[in-house]
Amino acid sequence: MKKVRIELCVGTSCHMLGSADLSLVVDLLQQEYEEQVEVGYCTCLGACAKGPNVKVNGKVLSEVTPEKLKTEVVNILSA
Amino acid sequence: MNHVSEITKIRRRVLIEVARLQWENRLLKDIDDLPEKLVQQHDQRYRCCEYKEKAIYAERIKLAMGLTLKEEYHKKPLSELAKKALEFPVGPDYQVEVIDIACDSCPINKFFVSNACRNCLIHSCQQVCPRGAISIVQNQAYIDQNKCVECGLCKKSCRFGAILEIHRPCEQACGVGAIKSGENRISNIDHNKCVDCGACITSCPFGAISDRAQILKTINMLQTNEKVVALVAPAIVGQFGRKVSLNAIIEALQKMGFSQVVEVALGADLVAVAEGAEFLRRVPHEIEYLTSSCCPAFVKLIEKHHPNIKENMSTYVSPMLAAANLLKEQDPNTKVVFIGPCVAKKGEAMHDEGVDTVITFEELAALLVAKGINVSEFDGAGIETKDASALGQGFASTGGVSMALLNSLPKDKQDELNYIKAEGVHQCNEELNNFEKNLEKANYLEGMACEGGCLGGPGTLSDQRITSRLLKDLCRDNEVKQPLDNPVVQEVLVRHPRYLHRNKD
Ligand code: FES
Repeated sequence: MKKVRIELCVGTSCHMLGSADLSLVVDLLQQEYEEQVEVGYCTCLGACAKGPNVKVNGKVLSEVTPEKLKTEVVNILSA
Repeated sequence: MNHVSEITKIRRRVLIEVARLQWENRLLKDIDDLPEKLVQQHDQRYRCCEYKEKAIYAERIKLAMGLTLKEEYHKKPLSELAKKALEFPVGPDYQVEVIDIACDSCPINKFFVSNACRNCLIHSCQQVCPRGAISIVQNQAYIDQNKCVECGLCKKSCRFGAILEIHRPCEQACGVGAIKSGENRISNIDHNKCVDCGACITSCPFGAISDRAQILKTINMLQTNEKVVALVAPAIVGQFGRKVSLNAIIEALQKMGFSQVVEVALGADLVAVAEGAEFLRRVPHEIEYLTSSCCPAFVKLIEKHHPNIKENMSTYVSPMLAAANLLKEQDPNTKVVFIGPCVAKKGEAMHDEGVDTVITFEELAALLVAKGINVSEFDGAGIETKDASALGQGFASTGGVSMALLNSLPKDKQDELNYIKAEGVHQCNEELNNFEKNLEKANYLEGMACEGGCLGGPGTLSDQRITSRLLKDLCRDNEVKQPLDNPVVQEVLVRHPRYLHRNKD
């Protein structure tokens, strides 16, 4: 079973640039894929100006939109 | 619905960058390069060309520096304007402005035939149109916009629902008809009508409407004054995400340079008790009903659109001014920064010495980010907030004012209060009309210009579905329940200082 580990940056800079919207997407993904999706939070990924940032399976994604995050995760899971 | 759109991000990036220059004292030196820097930062293009984007950024920068977009500032180098901005001019009374070059001049043809038109046999639209504006062209109804008077009868008559009514989002959001399309169909705000609620700011999909920020002066005060107090509105809870507590936010504010953080809810406690007494004194002997006066946009709505019932408005100041003046009474050298979700507060504060600057939660976040302070890294351990009662904190949410007022009345008088609440300018306006025409049985009106109350304000960072839950938790955990249980309230109301009254003489 494929797994995805998502780490959402909830630092102030990322929050300002929309991390709460991403958190909603993450909730939905978790509902859909259950234990295939593991979620964690962090306070900064060191790329504040390019926020919101998310770490997906160890890779930092920048300027993430809800659509972008969803596609990324679905792609990994269905690859 | 606080979805962070691309437009919101642009506005926030501008605020962060302007704040950064000010913190680092390089505003005059580097401001001219900022539009270029902002355009280069992101590869995405929103407008026809880079030049237009830069021009729009320049306008946003002016507003972020606190300047109005008046004619004489056009085409001036930003560094020259920054010099002006650093003198912290007071500026006009109104807060909300249209960025002309960002306005997309949305179509104003209100009624429009869609492809769902089946060219039916009865042509009811054509029959009902009082102006003969509808003809059939290429198998579809067609509205001659020169003849159309926008009565909407055609839309009502079509059984397929094929005729659409299109609004400009800003016009629709405005509860007082203050926005009309002006020259070249660019939106134009009539400041005689506008109440500064800021609903149009959030509604415009092009981000073409905004308000002036007071961040430069705020930073300057933090850098040069010893005692700067942050007066935080109760709606602040949850603004930095569900995981960041109120105490953590307070700790971050102290780190940023505020010498003290005080909850505006303290002022709410004062107002609730004072207004409760006013209610019993004046209703029904002197007036038939009383209205709240804590929301500045609601106050403006009454003053500008319902002047006949000005007498019915509570004579007390808002919680913000009550708390601010109390702080200045304790120490006249204190500088007070009000931090809230509200645009209209910026105008309200201009007329009172209690408050030195007003910034929104969004602008606060920009100040923090620009200074490299990450609120989510604080835990607020050791911080205690004990300024206000739970009901005072509840002012932030619609219905909260009424609840606090009710509970401030003596038990045997509580059934004399028959309150009703209105939220959003549209609804407030409707209710005020009802009261004016004596159609309303209630004897107290709580008016909040934003839907959901302050939690739904234009300067918020978090969705009110989340923050309203967190506010409830905060109130639940507060041991001091009633405004009357707040010792400061007792002390102040015995003296009943003049500054508690809107009309100070
Ligand atoms: S706050 Fe998210 S990367 Fe720094």
